[in-house]
Amino acid sequence: MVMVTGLMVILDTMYSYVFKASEPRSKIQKILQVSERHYDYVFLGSSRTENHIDCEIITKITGRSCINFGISGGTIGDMLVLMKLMEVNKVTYDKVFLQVDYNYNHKGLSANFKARLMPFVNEPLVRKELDIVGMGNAQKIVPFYRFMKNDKVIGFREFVTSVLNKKPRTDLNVGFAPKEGIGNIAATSFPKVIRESNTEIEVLKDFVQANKKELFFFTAPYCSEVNGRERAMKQIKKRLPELWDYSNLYDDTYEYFYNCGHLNIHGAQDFSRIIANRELLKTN
Amino acid sequence: MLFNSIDFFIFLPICFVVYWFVVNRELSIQNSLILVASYVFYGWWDYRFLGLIALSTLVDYSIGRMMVVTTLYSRRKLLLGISLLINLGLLGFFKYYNFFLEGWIDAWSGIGITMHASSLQIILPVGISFYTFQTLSYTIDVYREKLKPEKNLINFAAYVAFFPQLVAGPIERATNLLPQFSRKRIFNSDYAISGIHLIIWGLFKKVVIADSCATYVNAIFDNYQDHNSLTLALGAVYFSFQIYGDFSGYSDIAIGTARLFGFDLMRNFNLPYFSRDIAEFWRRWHISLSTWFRDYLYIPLGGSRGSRSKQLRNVFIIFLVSGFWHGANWTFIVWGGLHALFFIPLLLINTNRKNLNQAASHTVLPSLKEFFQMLVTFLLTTIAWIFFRADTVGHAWAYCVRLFTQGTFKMSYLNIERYSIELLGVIVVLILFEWFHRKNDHPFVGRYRWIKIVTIILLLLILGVYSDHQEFIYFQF
Repeated sequence: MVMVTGLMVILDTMYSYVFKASEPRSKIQKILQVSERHYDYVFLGSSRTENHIDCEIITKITGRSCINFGISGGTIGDMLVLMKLMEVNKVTYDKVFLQVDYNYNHKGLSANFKARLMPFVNEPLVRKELDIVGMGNAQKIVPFYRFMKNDKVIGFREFVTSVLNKKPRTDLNVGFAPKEGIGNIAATSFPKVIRESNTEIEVLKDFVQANKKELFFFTAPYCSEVNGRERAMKQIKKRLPELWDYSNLYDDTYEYFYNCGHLNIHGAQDFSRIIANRELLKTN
Repeated sequence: MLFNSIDFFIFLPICFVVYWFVVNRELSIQNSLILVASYVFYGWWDYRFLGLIALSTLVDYSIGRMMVVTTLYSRRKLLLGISLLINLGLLGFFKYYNFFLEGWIDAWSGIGITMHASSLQIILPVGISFYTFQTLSYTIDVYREKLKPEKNLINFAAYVAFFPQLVAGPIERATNLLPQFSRKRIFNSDYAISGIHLIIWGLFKKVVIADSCATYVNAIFDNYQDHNSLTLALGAVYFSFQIYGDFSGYSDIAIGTARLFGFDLMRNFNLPYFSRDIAEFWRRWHISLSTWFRDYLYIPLGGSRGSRSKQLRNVFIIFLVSGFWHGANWTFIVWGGLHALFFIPLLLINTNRKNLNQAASHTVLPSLKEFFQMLVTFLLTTIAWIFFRADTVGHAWAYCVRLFTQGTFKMSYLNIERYSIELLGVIVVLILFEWFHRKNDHPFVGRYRWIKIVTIILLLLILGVYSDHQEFIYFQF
């Protein structure tokens, strides 16, 4: 028992150090490691932001610095924590663009995001946010247990690739992770009912306002086969009238889709040009 | 309660301390503690299952007691019949009701008669096949006068519900386990340490090997129509190691846990993938079940005596029943049938009892011939496992067809998928550890045992799968 505990303490120390000191392999690591950095535009959302917003194109058109902090599977709650982490690490910004669509219905933090936070559990803000969503005492108390419990995200493979300073698939300096090819346009569905309000969006609005910055909402394109798209978007726009709705932008352009909810690289680049020209230039 | 859960790691030390340091003076209290602990362990899944195990216990205890007071052969036979009827009736109802109902409806629809009968939503009580066979062995042995009926109900109930082996075996014979409840048990630290070693080794096989394989096996078998031959071959091999790691890992933990309480359980797996033919495989795989069927079904049917046709019939019966024991699905029956087909050539040329010793028993490495024999046996069992794992016989067949016809042997799957290289690495570690310690029941022996223990614990910590809590496969049987 003593030996196992000893091994767990050693492993915990090693893993924590490596995730803190190695080249960032996730956007959370990136934010925790870059301090006193300024971005003009920050894009937040799920894979529908990460795969869709090409910051290099946006910078080229607008002349403004841009970062895509979209995270695959990310919820609005995740984005709120990201914003708080940015503040703690003195990462400043002028304008925030939040993707809103089906994620309006989600609450709390995504499992993947929570797992990615776990190596930094000793950071006060991270600890506080994880406590709010209920991290589980065992992961707090038992050394190394948080790495075991989240083995698929921060387990051995991630540890080794971090030790080897292997670059992630996404270039974290821009955060854009395009999809290649034309995939399966299988029909998916929007939730039938969009909830009346989203507390996390309200908190995010207050948060950005308190920092005297601007917050904008946008919806990236979906293919026309998504069930209940028009109905859901109507409900979301009722709750967020200021939303830039591009959900039906490419209804006749199938070659731009990787799958029904995600554009491929050609679609993403075209969408980035459109949003920069039609919206971002106006906000300057 | 699962062996690989936090609950069990709290439950086990509490039981151990109370058993050896609080109630150690009184055997009857120790046995009562085992009984209570076993019912807590079992009730952790669903307390309603406790009624069934209690019923099975009372029926066989009473029948055993009634057998002792009668000398009439016909009456003893009747009592045995009642026990078989109740035990197999319960097993049949919970496990096979829907299977037979669907078969019945299909049979009538074959001649144009449509029947409507709603299948029951029956929850299969965990481990019912295991404890039913264990209680049956008691009644049959009492009937055969190989064993005196147990007088003490607590001892008998503790034997039926003994928590280390309750839900997935080994299926203990009453002749081995029951007398141990009547003997004074004295704490033996060497024996307890060997138990801990077995638990560590079993956990490695389950949490590192089986659960890691499970991720790939599920991904490959669930989408077999999208994969090439190499991936399908890898999926089948991974399943061979998944089921071995899962089930033999459970058995090792069970035997190790029993040792912590001073009990000796039979070995359930003896390095089956080092077998040189299918007959040897069945002497090494799930030994407690195969010997159960041998003693209570195969030999009463005539075994290997009588004409060739009778021998072949007996072989088919034993393998098909063995397949059916695993579950109400044709996939298990075909799996059993395939093993019968692999076994029969050995019977016909009288070589089924050729390989009774361990491979390379006097050398470090196997001869080329032995290696080739082991490889062929492994491949045959792996093909049969495809049927065992698939959802339907049709899927299994389609999997096999693609396995041999989608000739694109690209290595992309190995390179792209996460963990796959590590997984192959730990499988190699397992094979090497088992091969070089094939005369022991675990590898933590010899001069370097501490290095081996630390290595395996490190692998458990860093490569174990803890995010998806996997149940043991054999619980469903």
